[in-house]
Amino acid sequence: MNKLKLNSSSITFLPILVCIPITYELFINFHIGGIELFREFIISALNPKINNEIIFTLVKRLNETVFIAFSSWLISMMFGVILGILSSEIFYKIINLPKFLKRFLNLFLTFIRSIHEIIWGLVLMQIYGINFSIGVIAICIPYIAINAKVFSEQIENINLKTVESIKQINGNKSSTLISLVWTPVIKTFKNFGLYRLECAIRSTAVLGLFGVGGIGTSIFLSFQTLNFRELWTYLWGLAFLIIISKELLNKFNLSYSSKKFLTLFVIALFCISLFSLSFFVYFIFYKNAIPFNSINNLLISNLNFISYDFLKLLLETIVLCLLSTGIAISFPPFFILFFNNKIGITIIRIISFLFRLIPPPLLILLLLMFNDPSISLAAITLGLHNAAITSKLLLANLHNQDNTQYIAMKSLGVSKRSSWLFGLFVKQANSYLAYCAYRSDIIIRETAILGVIGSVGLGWQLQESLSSFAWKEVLVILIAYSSIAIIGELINDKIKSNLT
Amino acid sequence: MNKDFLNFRKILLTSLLFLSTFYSPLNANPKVLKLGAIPDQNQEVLDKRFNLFSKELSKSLGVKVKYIPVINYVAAVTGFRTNDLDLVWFGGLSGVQARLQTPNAIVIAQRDIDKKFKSVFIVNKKLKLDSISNKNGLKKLKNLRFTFGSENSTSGRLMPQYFLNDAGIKIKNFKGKRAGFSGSHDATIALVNSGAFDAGALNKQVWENNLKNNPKRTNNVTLFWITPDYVDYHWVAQGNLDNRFREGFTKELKSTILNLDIKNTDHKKIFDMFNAKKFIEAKSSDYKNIELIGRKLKKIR
Amino acid sequence: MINPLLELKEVSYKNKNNFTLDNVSLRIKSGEKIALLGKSGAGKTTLISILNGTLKPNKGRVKLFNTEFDKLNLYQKSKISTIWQDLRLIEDLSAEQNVNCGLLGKQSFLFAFKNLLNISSFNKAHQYMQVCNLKKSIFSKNIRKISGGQKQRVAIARSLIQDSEILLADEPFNNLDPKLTSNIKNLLLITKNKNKIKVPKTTLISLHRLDLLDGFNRIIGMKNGEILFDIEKTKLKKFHLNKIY
Repeated sequence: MNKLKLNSSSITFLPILVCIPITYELFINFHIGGIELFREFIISALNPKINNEIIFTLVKRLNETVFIAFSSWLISMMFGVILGILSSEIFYKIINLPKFLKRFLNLFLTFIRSIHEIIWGLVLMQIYGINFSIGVIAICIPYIAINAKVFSEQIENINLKTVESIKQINGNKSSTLISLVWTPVIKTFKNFGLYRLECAIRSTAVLGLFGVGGIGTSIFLSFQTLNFRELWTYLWGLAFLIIISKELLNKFNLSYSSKKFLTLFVIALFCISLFSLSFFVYFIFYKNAIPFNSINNLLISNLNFISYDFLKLLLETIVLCLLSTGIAISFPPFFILFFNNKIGITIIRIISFLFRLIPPPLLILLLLMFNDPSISLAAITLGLHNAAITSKLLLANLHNQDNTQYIAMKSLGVSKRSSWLFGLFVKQANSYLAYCAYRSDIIIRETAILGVIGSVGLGWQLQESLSSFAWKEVLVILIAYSSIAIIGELINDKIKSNLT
Repeated sequence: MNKDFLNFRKILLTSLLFLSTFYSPLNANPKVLKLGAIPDQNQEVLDKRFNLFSKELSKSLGVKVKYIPVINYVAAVTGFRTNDLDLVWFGGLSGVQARLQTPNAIVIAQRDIDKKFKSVFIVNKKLKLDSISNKNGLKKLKNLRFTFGSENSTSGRLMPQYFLNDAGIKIKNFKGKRAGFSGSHDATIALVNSGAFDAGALNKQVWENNLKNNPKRTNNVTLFWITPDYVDYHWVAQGNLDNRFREGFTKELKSTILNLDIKNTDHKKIFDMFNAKKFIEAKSSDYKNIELIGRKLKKIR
Repeated sequence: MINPLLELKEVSYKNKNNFTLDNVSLRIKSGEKIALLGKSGAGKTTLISILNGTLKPNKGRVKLFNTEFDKLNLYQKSKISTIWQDLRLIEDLSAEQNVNCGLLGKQSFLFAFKNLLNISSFNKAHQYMQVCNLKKSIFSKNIRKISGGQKQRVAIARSLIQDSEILLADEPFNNLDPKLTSNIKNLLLITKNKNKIKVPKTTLISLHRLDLLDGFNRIIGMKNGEILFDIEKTKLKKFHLNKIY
């Protein structure tokens, strides 16, 4: 028998094997109990509740969501740029500062990046109470670090020779720096900014599920009371918001054509970043001197889990990551391969839109109607949500690719599926896998949210510790989380550098 | 391009305006009494109940009273600790947690029914389980899908879990080795009614209300067991209200609440929403037992 | 004896495994027009990088205005301008923005910022670009969208606008057609020209075409990282060239 050779195409299909244990566990845990509720849920999708009162609430909630999402997006972009520059190689080439600063900054960013915004939100809520600005800050913290990473990666792409040539002009150092980093920054802003805004809206919605405010809160409350028609009004509202914001922002073109516009834009950004900085300082130092009591609490509360249990939870979290990454990688190519015709693709698009729309915590609550809580259930939820995102990218890339080889294959009489596989997919496999590696970073962080609701892994323990105000446990869990995420990121960086 | 530019400028200006108002330190107005409550039931019910209540307080105390809804028990406790809430309707456990974290907090009052509060265990009719007469019968719940209400609820989690433990049932004896947390008492009924869970535990008062007002929701559920009594809900206020409002404010607040009279039509509406006949005195020592159980089940560290 | 403007003393530069410059000494005086000859790989580019301070030699010393390179301030350093073989323009900026970058040494941070926002004045840049035979239509074009020869001239304009004392140029005529080559060469070598722009008095240009040697007054020949001859133009004989090619 021939040995199976691993290449990027086969690697994208192999993870489908995770379905075997998942299906098994889901099957033994299956029960029909929730079928009534589920039917109600599906029917309500087409029959959302519409009256003056709910529309009013919807608009109010959407406003809150837009406010949280937009301001956290702006702040995180601004600070992302600044920290991105500070953590890039070029900065230290031009300005003579000790290199350990860079390493220190990178370590710090990796740490705050490794913890999901939901966890930041939950922890901050414990410290600062219920406040609107919690949402902004909770989203900003990891987003700044993520943006900083993306910006610094783009800045590192500047040709070092260009750096030398501009340095050789011997202008003042800040001029040299800004002239060099300007274009990559603006370009990244254009390509990446929009996507981040969409992410910010989604994150706001998910944070809302945990009580920060905005549309997510309404979604959660109406789900908790099992008021599905109301729930769908809010869900469609969120869909509307995502689509509209995308369309609107696509219209803005940050090009060089209008000088006045650009000046104004930069000045505005500058003002906002100053504003937000003062706000951060105000919020942390003025708002609550009391929360620093919590540090005392931290010292009194005792650690209450036995290390064996803790290890088990840790293991569960890791297994959950692996399983859901497997689904996220293998489902899109698999389904596109099998339903490779116009109708099939359209259906995949619609379904993946729905899976992107429904926040994962809500999705798992729905699935819990049919299944007992288990790792597989959490894995399938997280996997499907992320597969919806990767499939969007894959479909877009396949669409933009030239299909001459595909046509050539088909003219040879090769079947449609094989010619799709060899003519189109093979070329995409590498970049698709690289994207999936990046996505798995996110999946690791997202296991936290699902754990909270789906009662698996560390997330569950976190919720329990938070609600008993056991700060030491919270701290230990946060450290565990961030170390899993950091290790994951290191592995992924290796994979990515091998792929490109 | 020019048109886009104008639009964008507008957006920027408004967002700047927005930011400046939201971020302004002047937002904090010390002269408002901020009222909160643990979200143990439907938000609509809570909204109605506490808006009525705050209107009455405002009328008799002569200060502005604002009801601030919160999404979960933990948020209520934290909001109280961080001074975001001045007067909160807590459950037994959450009240104890809040008072432990906010040392000079004052217990104001409880309802007449809170002295002898009870929980109920309910099961889905399809299981054909008969109701039981004492706690040892709880063993029949082994290997079923079981849900509590909210994690920090006294009547929906703490006491039921305590009675279960007493009967020798641990959480891991349920199906899936875990119990669910529906989030609220109403949701527990709905989930057991639909069959998503086989059995659940909740506040007796909410159960009776649902039986009376919402028969459709309770079609497929039967009562399994009613627990012995324990103390539950109570009003807790910050210790610094006298400083912030006026001398003797806390006393006035307390007497206002205690003097609400069911014979007065306005007050009757409030009592109807609270399912009670009057508010009575309460002291923190009443809740010693809850604290003990809380510590035993590691909800209080 | 007049102090040299730029001086190399027994400079060696080692690149990971082999020497690219081996014990090179060189004195450049004000007003000299030097042609640097040699095959590719002879070490011309390395020599130029060391002369402008981009590379630090492993051994030996580099002095500008009789001061060690490390002790120079920014203003003094900006007296050297360079045209790189691979141009090293900033991609995605327009041609005129790139030329304006040459002014960074003389202008404040605000200027750099305005340049990026496209709201600075481009008059001076345009003047230099016209001198370099660039057409108006490409002034505001993105650097990626113009041809190799045009890019070459943008790079030349950028180095001229620096208003330096010494111009170091690495194969500056590479992408140019014969007519443009002679135009640009005249521009770089003839100090007094009719265009009223200042051109550095001292120039060092590396070349590989022997037909371009008029106008220079000193020729340096390099091979395998060593200077084989360093003579006045008038003394250049055929055997010299045979040595290096």
